[in-house]
Amino acid sequence: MKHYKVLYRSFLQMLSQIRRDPMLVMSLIAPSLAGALFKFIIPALETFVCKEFNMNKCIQPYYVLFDLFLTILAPTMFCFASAMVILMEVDDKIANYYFVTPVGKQGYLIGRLLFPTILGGIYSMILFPIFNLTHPGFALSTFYIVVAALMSSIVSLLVIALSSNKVEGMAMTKLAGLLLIGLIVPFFVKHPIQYVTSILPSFWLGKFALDHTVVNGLLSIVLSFLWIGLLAHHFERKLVS
Amino acid sequence: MRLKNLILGDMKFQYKYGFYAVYLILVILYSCILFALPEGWREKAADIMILTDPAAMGLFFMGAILMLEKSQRVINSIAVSPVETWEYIISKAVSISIISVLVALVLSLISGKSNVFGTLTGTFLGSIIFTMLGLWIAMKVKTLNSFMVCTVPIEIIFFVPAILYLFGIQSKWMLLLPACAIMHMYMGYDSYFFLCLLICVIWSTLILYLVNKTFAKVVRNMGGMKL
Repeated sequence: MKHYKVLYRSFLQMLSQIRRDPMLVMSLIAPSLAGALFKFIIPALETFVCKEFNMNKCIQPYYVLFDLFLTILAPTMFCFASAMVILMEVDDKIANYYFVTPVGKQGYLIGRLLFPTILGGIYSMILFPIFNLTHPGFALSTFYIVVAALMSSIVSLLVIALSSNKVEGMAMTKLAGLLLIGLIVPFFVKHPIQYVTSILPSFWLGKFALDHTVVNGLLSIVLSFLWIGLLAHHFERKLVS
Repeated sequence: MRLKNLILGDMKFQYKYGFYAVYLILVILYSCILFALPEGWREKAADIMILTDPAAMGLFFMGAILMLEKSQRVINSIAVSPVETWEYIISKAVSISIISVLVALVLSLISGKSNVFGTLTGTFLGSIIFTMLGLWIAMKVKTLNSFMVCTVPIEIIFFVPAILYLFGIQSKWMLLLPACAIMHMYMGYDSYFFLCLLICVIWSTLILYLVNKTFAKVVRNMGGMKL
């Protein structure tokens, strides 16, 4: 119980750091704005484009893609904010001091990564039923949100694990966004070359969203945990050295 | 000579921290996207890509660069060296612009753009403007998160009118905005080209003056204590 209290305090401390910037407000507002945009502008755009090109469906087959991006947006914003805090703390050597407090190394990672992921997931759970376009039902929505939350923690882990300072962290942020490109690939690349991106969990989530095959869904989860495990291990080793 | 050494030093720093490697990967990705698009769309897509990424890369990276240099006390060393504040700013802007221009060159060639010279000139000036703006924000904020949030309005102010301009929502007055002037240079060579060039140079000079003033103040107040 005492241990949970310590973790909770560590998380609150990080929240207060983000609150001082407008980042927390931004993390709350941006996904809602994007959700509203998806919900109201995309169907209107679909009607306009279909009329213009005299077609039955134009953007509609890709509505599920917008839904997937909606699920991933909130946890990614929270995890990104937290990754920036970790980059600052590692650079300023504050992170090392946390490890000798009751928070410890694992507690630090839980407070800085797991809690924001969960918070982002919960926020996504609130936004998704309001703004989704395909009405996938509770079970499927929950699955999308869980995998999206796992993928967003991979994004932040990649930034903090493979960079040794803020500048490298920002360079890595540019690349980390590419992890999500796998979502789009199964929709637009039908050639077997699409499997080049099969190392990304987002690719299997995209495939699952298309055909609802259980194996694809399972692969997206297994690969997510594999990425998280490898990157967390790398980050811990980096902190020790 | 001093400025040249500063620029070379910054380029080495950017190479060491993976900027060139990151942009090599991004260029490959952007090229794949350009090839996947219908031929008629490529030029417009390349214009948007070049303006929003390589040209604006300084706005994205300057926060981290300045904060790292602050924490490594590089700025303190510069403050006591003969290097002038404007030289420091120009060195940062030019070194980043070199990457921007290289990326813009590859994307222009791949997309089959007819006006490569205009695109490269616009990207160089745009990168100078964005980097100096990034530097100015970085001097005003304390954390990476607040830096990222503060860059959002600038991105909206610059990118939205430029994209509207690209898609034909145009007025001559819009060319007074640096992003629209840059976009006009991307779109082709005409009688307005030199006017756009002049507008960008004036904006760059104004922003350099503003950033130099702020940076000189930061350097002056460095170290010591306030009673």
